Amino acid sequence: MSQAGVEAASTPPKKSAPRRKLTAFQHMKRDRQLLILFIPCFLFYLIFRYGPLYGLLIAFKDYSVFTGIIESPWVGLKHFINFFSGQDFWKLFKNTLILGVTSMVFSFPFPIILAILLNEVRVKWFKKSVQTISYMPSFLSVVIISSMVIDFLSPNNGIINQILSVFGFESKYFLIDPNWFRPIYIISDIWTHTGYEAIIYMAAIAGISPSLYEAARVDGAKRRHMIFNITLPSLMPTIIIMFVLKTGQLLRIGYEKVLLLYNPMTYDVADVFSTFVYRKGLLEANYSYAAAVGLFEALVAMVLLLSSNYMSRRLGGKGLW
Amino acid sequence: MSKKWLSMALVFTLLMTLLAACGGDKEAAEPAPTPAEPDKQAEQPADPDQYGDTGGLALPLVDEPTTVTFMVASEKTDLNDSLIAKEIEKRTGITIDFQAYSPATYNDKLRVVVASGKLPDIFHGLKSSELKKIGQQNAVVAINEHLDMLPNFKRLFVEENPWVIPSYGDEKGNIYTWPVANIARDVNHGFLYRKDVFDELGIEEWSNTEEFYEALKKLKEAYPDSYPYASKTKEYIFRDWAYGWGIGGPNYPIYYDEDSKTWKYASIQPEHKDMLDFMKKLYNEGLMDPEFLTDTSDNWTAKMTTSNKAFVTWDWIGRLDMFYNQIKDTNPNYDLRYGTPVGPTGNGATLPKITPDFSIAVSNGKNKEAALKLLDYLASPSGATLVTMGVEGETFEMKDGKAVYPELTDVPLVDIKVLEDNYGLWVQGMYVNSDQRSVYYSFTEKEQEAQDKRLEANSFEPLEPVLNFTDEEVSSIAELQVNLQKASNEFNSKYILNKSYGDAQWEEWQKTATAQGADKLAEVFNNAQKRLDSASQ
Repeated sequence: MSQAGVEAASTPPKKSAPRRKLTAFQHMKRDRQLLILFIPCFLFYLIFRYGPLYGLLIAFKDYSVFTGIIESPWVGLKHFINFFSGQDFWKLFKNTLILGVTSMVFSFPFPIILAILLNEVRVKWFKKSVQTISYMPSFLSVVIISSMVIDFLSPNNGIINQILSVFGFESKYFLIDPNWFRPIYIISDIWTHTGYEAIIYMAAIAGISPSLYEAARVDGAKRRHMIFNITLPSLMPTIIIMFVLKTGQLLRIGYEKVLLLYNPMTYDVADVFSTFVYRKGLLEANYSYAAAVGLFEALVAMVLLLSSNYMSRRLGGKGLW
Repeated sequence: MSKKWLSMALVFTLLMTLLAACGGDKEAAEPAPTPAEPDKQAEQPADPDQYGDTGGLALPLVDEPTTVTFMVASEKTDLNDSLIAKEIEKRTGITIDFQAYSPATYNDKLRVVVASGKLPDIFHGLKSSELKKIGQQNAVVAINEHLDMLPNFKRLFVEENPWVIPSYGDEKGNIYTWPVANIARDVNHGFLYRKDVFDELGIEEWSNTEEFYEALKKLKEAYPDSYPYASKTKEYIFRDWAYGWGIGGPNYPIYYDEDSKTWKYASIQPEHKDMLDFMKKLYNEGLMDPEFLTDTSDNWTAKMTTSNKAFVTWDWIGRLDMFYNQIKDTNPNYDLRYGTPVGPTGNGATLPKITPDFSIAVSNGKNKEAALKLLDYLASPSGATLVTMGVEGETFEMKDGKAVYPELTDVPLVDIKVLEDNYGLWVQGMYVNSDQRSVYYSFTEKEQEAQDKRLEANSFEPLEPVLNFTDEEVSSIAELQVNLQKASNEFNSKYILNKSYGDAQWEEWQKTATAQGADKLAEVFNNAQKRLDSASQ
């Protein structure tokens, strides 16, 4: 043992020492400013996200508005059993899953592609205006989007059919053709959200160190090489996080748009859990039943979220948690 | 250190303002303005009929000043200062403290109010089954228990219309809803056609279904690119047309068959198939707009207001003038008129003269007697004039049998909305009877023609009996109805649009509908009908 070594061991450590365990109270004291900043967020979740959870009780009760949540009689799993044994269950499940999966598969890549392409545009004003125009539709309400879709597709004077007739095609009544319901739903979704969702990828691209590109250019990389070897790999964490979040919402198809776009001719393919819940809950005032279906939907969403997170951890070593 | 404290203080302040902003939306019920001292000069009215026919009520209604809370659906938030509030106070001694919520949020507010258990003295808007339920819990008054102090209620709903309490009451014969009387016009909806185009082509207005079809064919010949019949009501077209085939009614697709005295499920009756076949024929020959299932209101308006797209439709009679006013600058000849109902019966809907649907109720509190008497006054001829017209000599003058409003001469059209804004008349939840001289009944020339045409032809489907369901029946109806309705719409649409659909599919559908509970639903109605029959004997 050298002198220095002994000395080093005996002098109190400066930095690399194991931390003293802090008590919870000391933690709070130390991070009090951060905690104070966190209070609104905490309260929000407590009041608006966890507070209403006790309302889920009505899924296991025969809830009536006048007797209130607590007083209503317990019925166990009655509503769940009714729902699973109902004639509509498999049709709804199939439709929800197909619409959810296809709209995710098709619409997920678009914002990424748009962000990468915009990143390659060197003309400032053009880039800015494309961005603005592309995220405008996401500020329109679902009602307006749906009316626009219905008008565009009108067989009499819709713009789509006018274009088709210029090329000599028959005018087609898209909205009553069950085969067209899903494509229409998905394409209008892509048109609505692509620009807005591209923003997050644009931000991620802006965070990539320029030195990487410079080094690549020195090594003689072309643009496409840079895209595939630098931009995409650097975006991967963002892409994975977005993907995991999206799978959680796979079954959460908003009822408004389906409600506005479907009609008796397309019920077969368009009827999903959320429209079913709407009919049961609002039209039949069967709140308990609707809550049971909604709870089931949430459980499926949770399973999907956990499993996709697990998968992405196994595959890429990265996940949400 | 002090800097740190300063920043913490700042964070805290920020937080507090955030929280404060969240809690700002308190609709504290403002205390009612204390009633102005009644005029010392206003002596006790010696003449009981000084305000017109009160139906036997003695004014004022109360011995000492009483304040009654009254929840209504109105955009007007200063109702407490309006003419109606002052006038009622002067006449009856009752100060009304209005709790007005906009019609858009009224229902949500009502749910909250009911859930809180603190009911206003008078309120409206619950479903009849809900109202019966809280009535049985003694939250609202059974009006029939107070008949001796309510001469107008007794006259209108016991003596003149003895069916009201058996129909609208609960199983024990207790009625909790104060029905609204004499509010309906004779005609509100029907087939509308472009008279100018018909005249131009020399087509006579149709008087039966065959002529209707021929007229559409001639229109198509003249305008091959048009679809003569356009529709904006989507799948409700089946409900709207059903009257003409004798299978329509307010409970559609369940309807009361007068011949057999039973309730039936419309969508599986042979008459329904006739109607679908007729629609299919129109659709196949290009006489009906293929977009009838999806057309938006704007799109339909565009078709109906140009002169080469569509010429006949079905809607509310207000459109007759609305469309004309929209288009008159470019096409002064535009002339949309009311046509005869289509279908073998040649009938359209009958609007009930008495409706319980407002569910106006009085809560069981210390002011219940004053509140009941107040409603009874509003139901009297004198009260009806006040609520639907105003005060003669003060707000309106009679000129040639019509009410004119001297203060509102610069308003182009005095309608009930204008009267509500200016005087607090016609507030939803407050009118329980109406004066037929009110502007509500002064039709435009085209609307008048619609009323006259139907009244002359007496083309009204008979009114259906009003049934009274038990809780159990209400929930089984709810369960069956929505599903069946959806299945019916689906079948109806496919039958019309799919070339392959015919008799085989129709028979298949009859089986499907029965399996889904069409018979069960009819049975629920028939059981309730039996109870009604035995109650009214």
